[in-house]
Amino acid sequence: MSLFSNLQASATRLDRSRAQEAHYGFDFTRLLGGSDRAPRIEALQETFAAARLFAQAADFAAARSRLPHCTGLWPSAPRRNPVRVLVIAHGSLPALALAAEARIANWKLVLEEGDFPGEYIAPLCAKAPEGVEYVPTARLPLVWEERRNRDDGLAVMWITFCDRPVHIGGCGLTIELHRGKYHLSVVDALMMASGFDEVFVLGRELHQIVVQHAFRDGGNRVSGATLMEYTQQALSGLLELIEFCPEQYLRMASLATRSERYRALARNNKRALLRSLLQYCQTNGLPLPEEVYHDFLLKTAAPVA
Amino acid sequence: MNEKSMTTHLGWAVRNWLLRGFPAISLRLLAFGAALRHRLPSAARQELETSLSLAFSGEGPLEITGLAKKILGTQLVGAAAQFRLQLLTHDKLCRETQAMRVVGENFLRSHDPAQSTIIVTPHYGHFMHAALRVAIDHSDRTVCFFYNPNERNPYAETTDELIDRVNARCIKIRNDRKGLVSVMRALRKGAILCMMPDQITPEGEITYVPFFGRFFGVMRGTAFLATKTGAQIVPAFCHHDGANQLVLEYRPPLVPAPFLDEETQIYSLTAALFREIEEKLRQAPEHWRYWNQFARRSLPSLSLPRSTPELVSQLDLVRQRFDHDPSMRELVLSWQQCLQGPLGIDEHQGSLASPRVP
Repeated sequence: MSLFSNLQASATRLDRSRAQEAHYGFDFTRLLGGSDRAPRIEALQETFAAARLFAQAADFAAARSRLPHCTGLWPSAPRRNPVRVLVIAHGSLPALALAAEARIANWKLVLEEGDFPGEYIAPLCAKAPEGVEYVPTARLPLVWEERRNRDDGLAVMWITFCDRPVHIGGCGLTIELHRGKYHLSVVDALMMASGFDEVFVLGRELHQIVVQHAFRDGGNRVSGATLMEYTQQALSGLLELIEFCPEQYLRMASLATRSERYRALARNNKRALLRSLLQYCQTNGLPLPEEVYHDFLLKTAAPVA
Repeated sequence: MNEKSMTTHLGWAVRNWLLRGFPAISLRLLAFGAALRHRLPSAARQELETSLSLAFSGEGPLEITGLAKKILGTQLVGAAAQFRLQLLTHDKLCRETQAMRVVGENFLRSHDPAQSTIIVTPHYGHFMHAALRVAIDHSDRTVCFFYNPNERNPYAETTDELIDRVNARCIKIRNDRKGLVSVMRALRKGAILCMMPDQITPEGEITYVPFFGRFFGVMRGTAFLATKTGAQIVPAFCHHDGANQLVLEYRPPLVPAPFLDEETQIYSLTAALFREIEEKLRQAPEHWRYWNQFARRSLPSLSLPRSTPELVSQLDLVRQRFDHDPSMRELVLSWQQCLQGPLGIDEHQGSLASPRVP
């Protein structure tokens, strides 16, 4: 077997294992009300292969042609100039197609740093680096605030990925939608409230949404209810995609991990409180007999995942 | 460039020039400005006052307000002094850091040259100056710095740059799974590790230790590393002395006690570390950066039990928290029975003795 076919075979194996992980790592039955609507592993495998081809393309125009089934996401209506747009996206083929479309239309892109853009967009940017910038999640609101009043005559599209892994979210909200509970970071909601000219949520296609600029007139607070509402809107795009074209979504496992890990963390931290009380009493003059103490300590330990 | 942005740039240039050339005057001006600004109530001051009234429950509202104003002023001046480090040239940065007086350096010396050390510089006073001094002083050894990655810590890149400027051989390690493995490997080879464990990350495993009379949620990573690698923990605090000179003060090392089991060791070390920080904060509370988190991170319903009856009533409260976890509810019930039954301790067992931690 030649070196090329060896490489190709190993790449196919990799795609298959990742597709399997995405497939089985997520409870489709609960979300879609029936496993028959779950994407086949073969379809997911094709998605991973398409995303990899996208990343390997020479430029954004070539990359765009690799995703023929996700076309015309960006509205062609003329926009006033300059315009700053926020898109709440997710780790999917439509998100890749949108980034390519925007870049071909000469928009400057400001992307949230993370696994997904790092894996699929960054290699492409290494070949066509101009006009794309990465910002860490924690710095997004700060960087936007610095640039909000800067008038550099450029059309800029900010893209955040609302399905980022839970540990990056920092401060988050648990919301209930479609019979499931999801833990999402408030970064997207904060960005939505902070005065972009236009805000879009990406589902199967792009939906423009109307938001209030919470920090206008010197305000520096945004209410919890507003954050909750915006976070729900951010998630609705992702759920639309999962419901209607789940085979285009690459981050099933990430979304499942987000909620599962959050619940496990909340449970473990509750147990940690009991463990700490136990340890405090043992080392501060209110001890239990040694064997009872060790038995209790063992019972309060976090279950192995 | 329009007129407005030109004015802004000019303002920044003047600010930087003042900070670089006339630090004493500019920081004093800033302190004066902060005092004026925080005379009026604000959301930040209110949040701080809530935390402070919980931590210093014996103080009256006037004292609490005064302390909150002082903390806000000190934080602003501290942030400016930290920002100033970025403006200095390499030579001046090294010179100023080396001009710092060091107290208790002998605590870092050990009989065993391969003894690894975790230097803990909490977010107290001029903690960044302390970190830089550690980087300069131990250039003959492997020095690692451990902090959150960029997506969780907006200051990570600046920290990298500052450390590189004083000692490019230092190893900057990010707080993730790979970073943890690297840190353990370095400590086992006798490295010095510098970290700031008084902040928490949302996904981290938390333990609750006594801190200003309440159970306070903290990360257990420092004690975990010390227990796993046998490293000593040396707390370090950096602040100004009476003569307005910067002082880096090392405190006696905290060493894992070999007779305790691992879990209890981790707890005892974490508790001892935060007792050390509390002691320092009682002397000068205005230097800590995270007072605003105190109310959120400490438990509102649970106090530190001082006798068996108190503990039994505390356990009633704890049991209510485990309505959806039958195994834990059962455990709390067994504990209560243990305290009241023949196995347990009689109700009049003494109040708290001095803590038995290393």
